Amino acid sequence: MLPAFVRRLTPRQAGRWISTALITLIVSVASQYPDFRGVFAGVVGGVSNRYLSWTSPLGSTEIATVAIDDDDYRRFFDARSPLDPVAVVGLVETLRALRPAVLGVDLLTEDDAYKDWPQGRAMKEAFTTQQRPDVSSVPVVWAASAQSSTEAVGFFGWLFGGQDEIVVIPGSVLGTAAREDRPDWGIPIFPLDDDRTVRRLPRSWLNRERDDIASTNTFARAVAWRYCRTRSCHDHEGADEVLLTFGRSSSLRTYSVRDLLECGESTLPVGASGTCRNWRLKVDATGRAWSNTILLIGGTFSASRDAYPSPAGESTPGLMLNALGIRAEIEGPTLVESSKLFGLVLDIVVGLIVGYLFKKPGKSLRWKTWASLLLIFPAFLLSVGLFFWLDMLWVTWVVMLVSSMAWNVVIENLSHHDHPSNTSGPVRKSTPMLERTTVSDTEIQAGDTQSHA
Amino acid sequence: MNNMDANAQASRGHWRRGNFLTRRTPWVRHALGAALVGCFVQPAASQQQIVHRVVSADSGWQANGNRLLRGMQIRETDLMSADTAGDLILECSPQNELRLYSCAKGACKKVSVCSTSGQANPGVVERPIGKLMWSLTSLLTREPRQPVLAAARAGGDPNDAVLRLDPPRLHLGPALTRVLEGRYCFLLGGLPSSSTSPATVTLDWDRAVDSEGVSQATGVAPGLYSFQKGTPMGGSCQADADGATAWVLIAGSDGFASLDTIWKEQSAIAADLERSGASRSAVATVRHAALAALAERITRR
Repeated sequence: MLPAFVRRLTPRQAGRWISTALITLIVSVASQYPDFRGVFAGVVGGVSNRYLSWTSPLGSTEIATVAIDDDDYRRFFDARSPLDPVAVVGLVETLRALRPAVLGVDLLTEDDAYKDWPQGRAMKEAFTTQQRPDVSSVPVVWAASAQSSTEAVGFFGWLFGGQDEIVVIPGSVLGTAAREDRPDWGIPIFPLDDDRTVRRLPRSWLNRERDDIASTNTFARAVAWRYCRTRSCHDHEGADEVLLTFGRSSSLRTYSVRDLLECGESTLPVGASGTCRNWRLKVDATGRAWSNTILLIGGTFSASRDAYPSPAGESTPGLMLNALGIRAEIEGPTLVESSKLFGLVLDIVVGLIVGYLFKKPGKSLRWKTWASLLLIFPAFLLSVGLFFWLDMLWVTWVVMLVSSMAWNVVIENLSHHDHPSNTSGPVRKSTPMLERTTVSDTEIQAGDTQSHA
Repeated sequence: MNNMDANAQASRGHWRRGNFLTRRTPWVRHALGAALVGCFVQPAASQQQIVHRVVSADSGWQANGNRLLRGMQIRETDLMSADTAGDLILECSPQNELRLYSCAKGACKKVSVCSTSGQANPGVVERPIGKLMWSLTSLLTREPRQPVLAAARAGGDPNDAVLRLDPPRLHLGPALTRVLEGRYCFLLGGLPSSSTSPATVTLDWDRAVDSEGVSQATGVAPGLYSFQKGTPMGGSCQADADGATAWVLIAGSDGFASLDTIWKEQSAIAADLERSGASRSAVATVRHAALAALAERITRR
């Protein structure tokens, strides 16, 4: 059963409708293509940076970072590469004695030396068998090395919601292979956006070693999982990614190694440089309560080259990105990848209505502009609220207007071409497009006369 | 003026006098011998260096037991296999031809890499991908952005090593075990310390793409060098302020294998020494002494 107005259409009008719909569809799909190729990456990136720089989660998860900075690198590690395994393992053990909620180690320890050092073996046994009663309640999560790649999705796959997949071959932790059955490690992997900036964190990756099964062992998620085992946290099941927000937050504290620790006198004289193998906590450190804090240790010394462009700056330390990633894993915000098809349909519908509003006779330009904005705004909120995806923030606006204008131009040309009065005689003024398509040609003439009158 | 320049000048002098072949000086015989050997060795050496790039690989594909990922390099002599059904696209050097390998049923074994012999691989459909088709396909795909691994490796300085020189290509990989991926320059200063300015080589280091770390090093001769990492600054190389200087022994292709074997044995002993509690400077002295002894062998040759 076709609606009455469809049954009243003449074959010419029906053809016009179909061709218009096809052209609209093609224009709308084509207008998505520049977005796919990253043409809007600069604009979207700039807006996203502003948004993420201002935003901060409302939660109160306490995260503290302990950074080996350039000074610590010289003072405690003799500016030597690689970092002495005994010094690194000793540092982790000493910080563990602070009894934080979780201790995350954002230092890659894939070197075989970690396997050979007795201290490394003892630490691994402690993790797996929980043999040390004094510190066994403090879980430690290690960053694992990895080889990674991205498998890009094609245009049509992308249009229907497909996203690039991160494929990983896990490396090792403390000199031994990182295995899926152990929860004490995660891969601190971050995708780059089109403008080569880090803004988000995937919640899983494909393990190529194990037939591309999805692994949830990202470093941030592994730390968050350990933290949330004994606390009530939001369940972010279903979210594909989390967003890194860079707004100021009192729950994020930063320390250098020398703020919390000092070297035992037996190995290093006070003020001297060298390799510290005997760490001691400072009184300031032991005097604070750490039981609700996620403690994250990593390196910010320049030789580590662990800095990446982010909304916070061109060289944001990886340690900070991981801290923000952990916070986002616990508190959000999360991202659900939306289908571009949804955006496409939204664009077409809103474009149609905006086009109609601008063609509506008897209304001022100001009225039409406000009406259009009022229409676009809920559509914007809809896309943000239901399918929060940064690309849609601005691209949708642009595409809506482009498709709306293109639609108007197409309709105008078609009607101009089809109308008998346009083959000769004076140029005819435009008519409301939707009105025209629902009435006969004779009625159009009458309507035109009335409206002009 | 170094020895090579002197030899070249002497060679030109002989040529002008027209007695290049009549004067049977020892260096002429050596040069002739080297040229003859080079005729046979050079093609084999260059053939060995042909590497191909993985453009895309489905999950089942691997080479020499390692899963293949986009961007990896594999050698012509490697054998590939696929334990599950899937496709693999390789960019075959030196023509940069794209070739598709499709394993329809899985369990495809011993698949040769970019073979030009026309020998069929059982169970695998292999065909070149036309440039036009590839161009059209590339319109609907995009270059994937490689993710970053946001963690500090335990350091970033070069280590002592024996490096292979395959003139003018220098294989820096063994000295970059702990160096993070990135674009670097390296300063090679002759040892014992000389007044000549150090040679500079640059490298876009990415162990997933080229684990050998092959760099162009013109004018670098076999011998013992200090090896320092730096950042390319315009045309010069700015050495890292806090960077540690390693020692490297550069060996020609002919003697590299034996020297490398000895070095690995000796560096294992040094590692044991370090584990037993010896100071780093003492261990470094042992390592450097071992490299200097190996350098003596090159000099004697």
